[in-house]
Amino acid sequence: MALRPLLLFAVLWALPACVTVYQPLSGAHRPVAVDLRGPNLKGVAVTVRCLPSADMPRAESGLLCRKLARLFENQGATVQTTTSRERPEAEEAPAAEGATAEAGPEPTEALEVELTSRRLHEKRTSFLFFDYISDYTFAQDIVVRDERGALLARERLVGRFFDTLGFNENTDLNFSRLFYGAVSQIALNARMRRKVLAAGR
Amino acid sequence: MGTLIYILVFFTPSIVESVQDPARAWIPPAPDVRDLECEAGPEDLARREAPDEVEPPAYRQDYLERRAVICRERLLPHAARPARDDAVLNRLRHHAQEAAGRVKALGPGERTWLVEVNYPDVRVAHKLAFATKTALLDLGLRVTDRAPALAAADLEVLSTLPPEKGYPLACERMHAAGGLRAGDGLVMLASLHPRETALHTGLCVDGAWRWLP
Amino acid sequence: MRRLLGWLLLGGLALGTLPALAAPPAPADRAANEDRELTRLRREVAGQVQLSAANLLDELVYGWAQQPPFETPTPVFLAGLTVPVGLGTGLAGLLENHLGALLLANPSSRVVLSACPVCQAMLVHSGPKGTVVSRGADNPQALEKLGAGGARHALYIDFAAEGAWLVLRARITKVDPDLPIVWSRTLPVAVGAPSLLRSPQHLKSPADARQEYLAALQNRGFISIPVRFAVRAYAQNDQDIASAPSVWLQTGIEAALTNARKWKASGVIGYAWLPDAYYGLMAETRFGRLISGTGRSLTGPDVYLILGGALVWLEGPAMAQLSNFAADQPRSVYGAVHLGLELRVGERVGAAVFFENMPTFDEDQVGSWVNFGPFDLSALGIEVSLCF
Repeated sequence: MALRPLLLFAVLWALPACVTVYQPLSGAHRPVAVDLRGPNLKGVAVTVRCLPSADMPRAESGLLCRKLARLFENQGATVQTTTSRERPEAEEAPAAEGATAEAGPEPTEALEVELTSRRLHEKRTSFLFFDYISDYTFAQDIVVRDERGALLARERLVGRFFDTLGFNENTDLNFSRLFYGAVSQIALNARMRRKVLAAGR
Repeated sequence: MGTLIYILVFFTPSIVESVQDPARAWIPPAPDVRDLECEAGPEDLARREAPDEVEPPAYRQDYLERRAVICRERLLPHAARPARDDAVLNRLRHHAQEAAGRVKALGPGERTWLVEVNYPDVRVAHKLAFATKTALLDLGLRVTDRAPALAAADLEVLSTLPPEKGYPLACERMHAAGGLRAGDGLVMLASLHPRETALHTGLCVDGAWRWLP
Repeated sequence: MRRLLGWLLLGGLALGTLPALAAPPAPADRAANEDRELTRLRREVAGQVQLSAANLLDELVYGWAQQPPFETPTPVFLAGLTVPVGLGTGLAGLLENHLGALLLANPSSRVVLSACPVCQAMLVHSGPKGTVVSRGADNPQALEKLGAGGARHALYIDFAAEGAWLVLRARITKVDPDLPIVWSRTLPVAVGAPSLLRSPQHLKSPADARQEYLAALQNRGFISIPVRFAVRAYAQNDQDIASAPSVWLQTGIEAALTNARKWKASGVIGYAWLPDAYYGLMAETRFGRLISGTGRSLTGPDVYLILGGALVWLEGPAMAQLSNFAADQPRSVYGAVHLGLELRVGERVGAAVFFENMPTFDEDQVGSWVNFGPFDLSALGIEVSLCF
């Protein structure tokens, strides 16, 4: 009979609970080759523009911008952030045409990363006095331009958060790892595209 | 006993339903999210894609809102290939069609196209070249399997130059050495950074090199 | 027996927990383990890919049979067949054999597979422009000098794993100094798409094959009549006395609740009779959920998780142990809930094993094979069924 409490313990331990799961959809889970702490953007002035929308208030856009600024700074970039379409006040004039690629602290390249969020679908669940979003699909549009406004990259990352019965899920870690990896990869690819376009001018 | 009945009644249907959910599969263990390609959409989409899995609509309205998420597991798990190769190969069709589309956008012509790929892994380069040739042919362009050979001395010099100088010089040398004949054009797919997952398309026509925007 | 099952469960739990408690392996061991795991994974994927790749070759040859790439039968040599990066070359060999068999069985494709050892060999060719090292197929001038020139065609086939898609690309190149590509095709297939299972002599288009598959799914009928032969063995009570096992013959109706037969339900009545021992009647209903795949297999066995309930009436001297009614002779009437697994092969044969909980009995009447919390699983059932 000593087995019975042990089995009950095993059942209780294994009991699932309501957890939030992150499911990357199109674009959000492509393999990433960049090292998030490598000098991928050394010498690049990055302007991160997180545009608020009906689905993403200005405060949340600001938070996203601050996190992305840290991400790009870790990769060697000089970063400015804004949540409006206006140019940031402290931003210097874009690199002049024919600027030489000197090695030094001053950035010689510039990228403008613009992010817009949209809610594609949500499902609300109501139970007695509780009303919450139990299934939520978002799209993050990312557009990267160079200092002349030439389009370097345009990507859409789609992901879904949903509540389900399961074991403890590390949703934040999954989401962060995939999202910041994807954004870093897009930025590096855009930087190389800028180089190619500059060589062709 | 009451608790157990509660668990059985409320949890069992959900547990049984999630047994085959690719995102939450319990038997076998759920695959890594990076190995699933999922697409969300209305129920009709799922019915078209998997008529044997999704029932036809009920004759009577049941007032339930249903959405489908169609997930396909990637053929090769992400760990099976280096990340950069995996990223490039997973979008092979995209890279090939994009390059072919850029060449086609130059306008109609009677050129015969040769295809070269500069990528560190020779197996990946082979697949990129194969896919690009097929994509060019699909767009009605003329393609040959000839390779624009360069002399060993040329290769030695070219390998020391940065890309912005190396590709134009290589183009010049191919033209001068006869690797590229009059009426030929070379489509080059190149990867320029060891951690880049995008590819750039360059053209060598009549000894002149240019990157396609 | 009960103790044995208990130890088995405990052992299972311990085995599940032990790896987590063990010390982490050394880095060198970990690398070796990862390599081994990767090799196993690649082998597994190659096995899964093989059928899809063979189907794509079927589709390629079917396309040639419908629209031949040449006016007349033309010799073509296989200049290269490459498989997805990450998979071994053994798969390439198997696919080459399959392609050969297909082309032999379909002369209407007008592609005649021929051998050209010189075309596949590495050649060193010195000319006025220098020395070129290349495969024969890539150097038509060298082939000409070796007397192996002429109107030859090279066939290149490549399989690529692109996300969830396996993609076949094929091209035919005329081996003359210009090496023009004269024909090409791209054929994708989603991984996990049902196998078309076409014989090489009677190739079909994917659309026709899919239609046949759907027809096969829909034409299986939703209702069948099972005939089951079942034995229920009862656990010993606390004085180590077990009731005689009961033997049942059951029949009724089984219904598939969904197209893919993921869910099914059945209702049967059963009759038990052993001369001078007992006789009985039962009514049983059961639900089944497929757990071995997303839909019933057309070709292989399937496993269902079964959950059901039964109302049983047994009477006779052999049932004294289970008697719960005062009557002329021992009589037992009880309800039971069972849970188990059923293996089904097609719509014909099945076998099931299940445990039954009989809540109306206490431990001096019937014991339990397994204690699972408050549930005593008192009867072990085994059954074989035929469906009509």
